[in-house]
Amino acid sequence: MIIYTYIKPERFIAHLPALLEFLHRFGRETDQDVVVAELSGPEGSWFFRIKEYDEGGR
Amino acid sequence: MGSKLKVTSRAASAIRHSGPAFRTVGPDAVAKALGAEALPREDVHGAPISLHALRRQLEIRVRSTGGRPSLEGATKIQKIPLKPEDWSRLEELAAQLSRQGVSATAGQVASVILRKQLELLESATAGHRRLSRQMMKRATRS
Repeated sequence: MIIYTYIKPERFIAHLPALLEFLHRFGRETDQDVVVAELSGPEGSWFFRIKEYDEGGR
Repeated sequence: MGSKLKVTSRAASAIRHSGPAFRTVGPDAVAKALGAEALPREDVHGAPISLHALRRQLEIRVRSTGGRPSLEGATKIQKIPLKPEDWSRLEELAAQLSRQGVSATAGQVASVILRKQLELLESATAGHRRLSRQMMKRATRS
């Protein structure tokens, strides 16, 4: 599954906890080996690789 | 037959953006907030070029010098055999990018994709060579 979106830096940073919750829940509940988020900007592109998921609300 | 037109006027100077710059998002802070490991994209072997990366490369490399905008550094014009459906897909990609404001030909799109794949192949081959050397060293030690 690939979703592309443009971001506004302040709003993106403010919503990082919600993104963390989504990415970890996605990896945990669909049993993924790895979940990756990519962020591209003027300084280059970065991969954010998540291999271990948090426990969620448990 | 008409002769080739030559532009003799001075090239326009570059446009500089002097408005406020947006704050950039640092990878370390994002990685920490996401509980993730940050890796520069070029270090991720085998990752295919994304449409975003393709668009970005074309934005950087397609330059207008008065005539038809050209792809910076792509000076070798070569005939490459392609399947008709692959060419159609490249034309679709070029049209899609054009709708997003990035003007590029199907050939320029192909050139950027080809370069990226060659870089990936090179880094993968270098990785294999490194691994072979390490295995040879271990084998000679034991």
